[in-house]
Amino acid sequence: MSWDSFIYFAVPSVLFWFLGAFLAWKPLRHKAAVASTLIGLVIFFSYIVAMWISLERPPLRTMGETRLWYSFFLPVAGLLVYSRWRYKWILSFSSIMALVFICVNLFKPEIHSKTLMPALQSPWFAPHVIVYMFAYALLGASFLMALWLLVRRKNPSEEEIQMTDGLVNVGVAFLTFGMLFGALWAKEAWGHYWGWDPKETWAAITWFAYLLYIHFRRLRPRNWKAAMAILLICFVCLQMCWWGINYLPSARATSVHTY
Amino acid sequence: MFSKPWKIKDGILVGCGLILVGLLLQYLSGRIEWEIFAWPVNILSVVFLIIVSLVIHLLRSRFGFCGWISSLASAVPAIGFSLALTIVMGLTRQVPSQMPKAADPIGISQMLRFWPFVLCYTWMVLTLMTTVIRRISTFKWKKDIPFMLSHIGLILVIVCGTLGSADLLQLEMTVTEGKTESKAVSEVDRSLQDPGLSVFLKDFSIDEYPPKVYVVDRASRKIVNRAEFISAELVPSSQNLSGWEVTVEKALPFAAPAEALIRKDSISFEPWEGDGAVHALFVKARKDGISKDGWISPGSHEFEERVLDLDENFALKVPSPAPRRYSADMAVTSRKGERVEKTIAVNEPLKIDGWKVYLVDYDNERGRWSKIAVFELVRDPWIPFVYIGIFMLLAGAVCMLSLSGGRKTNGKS
Repeated sequence: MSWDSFIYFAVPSVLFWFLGAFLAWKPLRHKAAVASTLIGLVIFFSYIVAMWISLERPPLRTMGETRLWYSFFLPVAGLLVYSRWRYKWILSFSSIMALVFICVNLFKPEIHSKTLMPALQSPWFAPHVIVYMFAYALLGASFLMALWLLVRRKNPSEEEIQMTDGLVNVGVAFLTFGMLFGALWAKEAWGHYWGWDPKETWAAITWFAYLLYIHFRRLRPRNWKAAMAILLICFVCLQMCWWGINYLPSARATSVHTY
Repeated sequence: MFSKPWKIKDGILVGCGLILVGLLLQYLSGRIEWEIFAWPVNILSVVFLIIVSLVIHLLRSRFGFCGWISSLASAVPAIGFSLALTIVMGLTRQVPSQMPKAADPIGISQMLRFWPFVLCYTWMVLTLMTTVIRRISTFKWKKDIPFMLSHIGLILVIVCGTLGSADLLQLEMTVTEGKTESKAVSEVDRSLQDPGLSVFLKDFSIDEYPPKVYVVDRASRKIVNRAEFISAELVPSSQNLSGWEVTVEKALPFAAPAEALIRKDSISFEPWEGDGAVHALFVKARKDGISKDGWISPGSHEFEERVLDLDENFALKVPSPAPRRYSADMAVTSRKGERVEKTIAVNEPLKIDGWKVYLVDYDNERGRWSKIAVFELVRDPWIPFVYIGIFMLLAGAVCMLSLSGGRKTNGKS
C-alpha cells in the first residue's frame, strides 16, 4: 500500500460521507445517514491499516500521515455529535472539513516515507499523536459551531451553546491526555518532561486558551458572542501549534517537533 | 472600580498593574534568577504560598481583593494575561534559560525569567490555591472530586515543576568504549561535577535500516525524488528510478575499496571489517540502450563517498543508512556500592541511586564506528510531586469525559 492508492480509498469514503450528510437533511433518515457515514469510515480506516502494515510502523510520522487521522476523526466526531444531538448540518460540515484535508494530501502529499528514528520508537508515540488528532477533530467541530453561531444565529438556543460546550469539554479532555502523554514520554526519552520548545509552548498556549473559554463560559454564561469569539482565537492557536510553528522563523531551527 | 465584589474589569486592572510592576522590577533588579530557589528556599516558598492562601481565605469577607481572588472574576483575567504573555513567548525566538542574559533589552527572549510573566502565573497559582481552599470548606464528594483533581493537579505541576527546577541536576558525560568515567559536565554552566557514579561503557552500537539507492543531481548530489528508491535489504533488487532500470546486484555491509585490476577509472569493493568499513553496493543501470554499472558507497570517516554517474545530469547514490536503534552496553556503580549492568537505548534510561542515565548522543562523524557514547545524568528530587500532579490532571480529564458525555444540563465540573 502506498500514497498512490490513497485516491481509490478517499473517493468512495468521501462519497459515502457526503451521502450520509445528504441523508441527514431528510426527515426519518437518521439510521441511513449514520450507516452511510460508518461505511465511509470503514473504507477510510482500512487504508490507514494497510499503510500501517506496509510501512511497518504506525502512519503517524509525517504531516501527511497526521492529516490522514484528522480526515478520519472528523467524520467520527461529526457522527458522535449527530447521533447524540441530531444536528442536520453537522455531517455536512465534518465531511467538508475531512474533504479539505484529503485534498491537501492528494495535491501536496508528503510522501517521504520516513523511517522511524530511534526517539520515536516508543509505545507512547501512537497514543500521544492519535489522542491529539481526536482532540483536534472535536475542537475543529466546536470551531465550526462557533463560526456558524456567530455568522448565522441571532438567538442561539441553549442547546446549541451547550453542544459547543460539550465539544470543547471532551476536546480539552483529549488535549490534556495528549499533552500529558507527551510529558511522560519526554521524561523517558530525553530526561525532562517539559522543555518549552516551540511546539510545547504552543501546546500549553492552546490548552490555556481553551481553559480560558471554559472559565469564561462559567463567569459570563449569557455573553455567548464573546465566548464564541474566544473559541475562534483558540482554534487559531491550535492551528499554530499543529503546523503554524513549521513556518515561524523563531521556531524552525530549534524545535524537536518540526517535521 | 475596586468596589466589592471585584469584577472582571478589576481583574484586567490587576493584570495591567502586575505587568507594570513586573517591568519595573525587571529594570531595577534584572531577570529572575531561579537558582536562588534551590533547597530549602523552594520548600519554604511552598509553605509561604500555602500560608498566604489560607490568610486570604480567612479575610475573604473583609477585603475585596481576598474575596475576588478565589473567584472566576480573577481566574478568567489571570488565565488571559498568562496566556497573552505565553503567546508572546511562542512568537519570539527564545534564548535558552542557561544563557547568562536575554537577547533583547526588555527580557522577553528569556520569558521564563521575565518578571511580568512570572507575576501573572503566580497570580494564576494564587487563584488556584485560594479557590481550592474555598471549595474544601464546602466539600461534597461527588461534585468536587473532579474539580479537586484538575485544580490541585495543576497546582502541583506548576509549583513543583517551577520551584523544583532549581534542584534539578542535568549533567552530560562522555564515555569511551572500554573505559570508565566518573566526572560529568553541568549542562547549565559547563562546570565539572562529580555525580558519585562510575560509568563503564562496554560497547556502543547502532542498528541501521537497510541502505537505499536514490537518483541524485550530479552537481549538487541532492536527491531528485525522495519517493523513488531501491532498498538494499534483499539483493538482487530492481526498480525503475526516474526512467532508469536500476538493479542492485550485490550489497556488502562491511567493505573497503580495492584497486580495480581491469578498469582504472573505477574502484571495486571487497568485504572488510576494520574500523571505518563502509556499506558498498554494486549497481547496474540501463536506459535507452545505455548501460552503466559500478560500486557505490556512502563513505565513512575513512573512505570517500562513491556515486555512479548516469549521464551529465544524474547519478546514483546511496546515502548513509538511517539509524533504527542506538544502544550502549554499560555498567554503572554508585558511591554506595550499588551496581547496575544494562544495555540502554533511547527511551530506555538506567536508574541508579536517585539518578537516571539516558543515552543521548555519539560521535556522528564516525557513525556506527563511534568509540564514544554521550550520556545525560538527571537527578530530579521533586519529580514524584510533579508525577502526582500529572496523574491527577489525567484523572480530572477522565472525569470531564464522563461528566460532559451525556449531560443535557450544564453540570458543574
